[in-house]
Amino acid sequence: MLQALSIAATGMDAQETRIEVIANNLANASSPGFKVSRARFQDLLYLTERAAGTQSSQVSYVPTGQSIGLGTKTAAVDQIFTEGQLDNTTNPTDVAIQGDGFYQVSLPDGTVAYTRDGSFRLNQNGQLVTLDGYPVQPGISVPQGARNLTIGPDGTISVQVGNATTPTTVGTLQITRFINPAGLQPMGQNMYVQTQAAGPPQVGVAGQNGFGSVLQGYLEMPNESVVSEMVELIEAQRAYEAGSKALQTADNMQSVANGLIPNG
Amino acid sequence: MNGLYLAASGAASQLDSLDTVANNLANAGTAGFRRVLSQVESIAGDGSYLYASAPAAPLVDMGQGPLKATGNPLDVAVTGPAFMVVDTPNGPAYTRNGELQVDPDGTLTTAGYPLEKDGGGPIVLPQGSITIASDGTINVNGATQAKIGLADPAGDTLTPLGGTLYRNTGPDPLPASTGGSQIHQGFIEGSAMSETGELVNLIGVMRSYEASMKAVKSIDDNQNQTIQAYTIQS
Repeated sequence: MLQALSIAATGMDAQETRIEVIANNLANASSPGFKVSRARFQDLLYLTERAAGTQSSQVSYVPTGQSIGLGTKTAAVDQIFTEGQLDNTTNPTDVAIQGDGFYQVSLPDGTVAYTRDGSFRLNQNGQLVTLDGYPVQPGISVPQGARNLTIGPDGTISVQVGNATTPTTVGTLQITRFINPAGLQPMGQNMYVQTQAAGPPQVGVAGQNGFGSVLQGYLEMPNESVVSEMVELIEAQRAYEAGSKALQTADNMQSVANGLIPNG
Repeated sequence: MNGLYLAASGAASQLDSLDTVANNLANAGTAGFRRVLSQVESIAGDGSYLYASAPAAPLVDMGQGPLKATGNPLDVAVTGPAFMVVDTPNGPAYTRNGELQVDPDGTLTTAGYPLEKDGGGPIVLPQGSITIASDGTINVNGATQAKIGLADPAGDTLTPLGGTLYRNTGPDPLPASTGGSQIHQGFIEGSAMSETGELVNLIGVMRSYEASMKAVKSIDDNQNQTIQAYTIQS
């Protein structure tokens, strides 16, 4: 077996991963709060057949070694947490985060998930929940018959109850941030769970000390550009093709060697 | 009989070249990758006019890779000759991979190792919005934190370690950059490898290999005829 066969295969494998990531980015072109992912690649180990710096005579040294690279590997697929464009929905329970941070959502099993998708709704008990029905943490309940739900830039939610003319505060949307948001584990449904790599969650007040502020009536659109995804797609396809050429050449060379011994 | 081995040594060298081209092509998507040039040198056989060939030390091509705008504040690309320095357990390593990451404790890393600041030591950042100036100075929320350390390679002494890292085989550490290199935030330096160039190399490798194999075949045919002639005479 020629080594080049497996080296070329690692490259084609990497481009497949890249296309999977691009496909997911494109598929989520209208998921609010979705963050674009990028596959990151690194070269694999090098087989050193002659080490650099070894003596080539008593007075001279080999300046560069002879090393043969063994291909490539996927080092990471991580999210890029730049901000997406804001889409004006005019829905009073749609809230976008402008700046750094996530909303906290309590999952049915009691764990906390983090999201930038602020398309919240009220459930049958007046609780503020995500589109999947998971309550926002800390829980916020809007009383029956409340009108004019208003969310301030600091996350304060107020309503007018009954015939009252002054608004009543019913709760506050809290913002959590992480020193390394790229280390969060995406779990689908536009949500992430905390990991060791992301660092401990820091809870704060929206709009203060570097925490993002919230904007009522808007949703944050994905931070992707369809055009740049298409460019990535073309690059991935061409790199895959080039890899297949290396594979073909290795195969041809093997066949030439096999042809040296005549049949019979 | 000598010719058979000479021709075979040519074919074997081409196999190594094929591995190198395949590796260059496989790393089309590796940020900061430097293409390896495979070289073949002649070896004097036994002092006669006959020379065989052997793979020589491959050179790491220090040409600039393409800059790709990503808009990610943690992506940086270096233009110019300098490399960024990372601190590995085996001493300093050098990289052009600008896909920076932040550890849970705020340490800036790339390729899995802490990035060194100018003058040595890790870069630990507070939380906030990061801006990186073209000389590598990092600002977080408007306050200067540290400067990314850059080092200029001296001669062709960088050897690939894998993982987008390079080791210096000359005196370590490399001297700090004396200028001529810049850092660009929001960009990534793509793989410094031209697919077209590598595909052309691939054709060259294939044809040289075929030629060597033709030589092997001709020598074999000649010997076969000699043997046949001898058989008929006796």
